[in-house]
Amino acid sequence: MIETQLIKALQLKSEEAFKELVHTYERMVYNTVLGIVQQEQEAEDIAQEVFIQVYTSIGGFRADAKLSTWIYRIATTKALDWERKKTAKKRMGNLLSIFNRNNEQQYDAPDFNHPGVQLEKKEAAAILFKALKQLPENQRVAFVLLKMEGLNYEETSEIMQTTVKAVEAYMHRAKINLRKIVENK
Amino acid sequence: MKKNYSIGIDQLWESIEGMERATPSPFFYARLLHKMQSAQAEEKLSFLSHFKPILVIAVLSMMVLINIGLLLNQSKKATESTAASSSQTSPVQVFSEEYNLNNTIDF
Repeated sequence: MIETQLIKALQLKSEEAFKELVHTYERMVYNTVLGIVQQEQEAEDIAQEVFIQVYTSIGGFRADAKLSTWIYRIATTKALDWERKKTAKKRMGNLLSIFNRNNEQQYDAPDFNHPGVQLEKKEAAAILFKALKQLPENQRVAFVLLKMEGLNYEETSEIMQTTVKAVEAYMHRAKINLRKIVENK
Repeated sequence: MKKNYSIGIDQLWESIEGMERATPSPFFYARLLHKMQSAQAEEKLSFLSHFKPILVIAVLSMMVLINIGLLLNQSKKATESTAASSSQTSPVQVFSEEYNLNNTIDF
């Protein structure tokens, strides 16, 4: 099914079209979300939320952008929302732990190992992913789309709704920041 | 204390070169459908969410207040009618006054 037909069928709430959409884009969505949240189970839940959002909002989809660009936007937004909620929860937990008599310690999640990384590169990739979590949102999204999803600068700028130059700047700063983070450890 | 990483930044950068996309679990679509179906079922029952405890309490309080108001109004009316009937002269009294039956006659 070509993209315009798929969109039309989705707008008519065709189950067959939805199945095709999920099978076509599930790896793309899951990999993007996983690159941002770095937790497999959470990434799967968020990826499901992305498809639900696509299903419910497809009626308002204007074909001024590619379907994949629109889905990428939903995926990155949902993943970043989840990150923000998690950070807020963590801050609240830290605040409450000051008043907690039991003085329970909060443990950070273990190092993330991306399942797609080659075995001999896993150690280096784990360090990189840990450092990646400390980058600002725009730099992290640019990194995930360019380095993990293999998109070009133009596609990334469309998804991030910015210019190619801005994406280049995000990536340049991301490299500098990652170097700083890794060297300071 | 700073750790001395033997791995350089370039090596870290290269570690994700040629990485494969991660794949979700094989039951991804089935789980997604289940999630959507349960969300739809919840939506159907969402009218029940209008009956929140606070709303129920508010409606019950209103009904109790209306009942109290009606009772007070009725008892007030009853008191007024009793007072009115007591202040009115009875027909027997009117009759006795008419024929001067209340006056004692001196012989």
